[in-house]
Amino acid sequence: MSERIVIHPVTRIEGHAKISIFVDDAGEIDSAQFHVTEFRGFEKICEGRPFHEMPGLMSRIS
Amino acid sequence: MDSVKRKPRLATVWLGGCSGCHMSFVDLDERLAELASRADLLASPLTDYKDFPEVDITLVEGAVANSDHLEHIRLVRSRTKTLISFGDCAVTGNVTAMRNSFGVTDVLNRCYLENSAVVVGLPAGNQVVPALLDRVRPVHEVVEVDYFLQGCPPPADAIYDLIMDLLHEREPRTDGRRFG
Repeated sequence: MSERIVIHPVTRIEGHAKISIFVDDAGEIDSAQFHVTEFRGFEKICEGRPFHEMPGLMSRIS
Repeated sequence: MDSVKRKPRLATVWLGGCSGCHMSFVDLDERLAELASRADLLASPLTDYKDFPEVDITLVEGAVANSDHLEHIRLVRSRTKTLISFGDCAVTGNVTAMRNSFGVTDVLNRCYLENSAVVVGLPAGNQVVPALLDRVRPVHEVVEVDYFLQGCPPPADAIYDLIMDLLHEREPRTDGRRFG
């Protein structure tokens, strides 16, 4: 029976993720995907800001 | 018959944040041993749990930024006696909320279209990756918050003082400080 198993949440990592495991009709694993489920947009939010804010700002990525 | 009072149940959660507040929590260093003797850490990104349990105290790090956070914080609030907004992202939105002035479309386009070289395209809707909320919100805009612990990150001493006050059933030394 084909199904998708989702591991949610993935624990003991820095950040947030899920894992999807696709199982085919024969019960064999067809494929697996790792999903990063967080996004804050640092590439955009730094635009227009003074350069000296960047070390403080970017260190809040992680 | 002896009735043994069970240890208070503690949990920590991170939503849209950098986990820096949790690093500050871990900076309790040897005081973690004292904390472990006084409370049980039932659920945390540092442990392996899948279903959030009933707890006495939850530290919530990070702002509410996507649909998963929204769903999870409401569940956490329903299973927590005392909820603490932990760190500036949870208290005010902070860095996570900086995308509010740009809007979701611009922020996604900058990352996945303009700045992409290898795979150019927005994340596909696959029912697994949560949708970004239009506006990132601090925790108190979504659920009732009992105490606020501000800081980016809050110093380990401040975390220790607040948790110990609560575990000893003292009124925390926050002087009634609220942010919402």
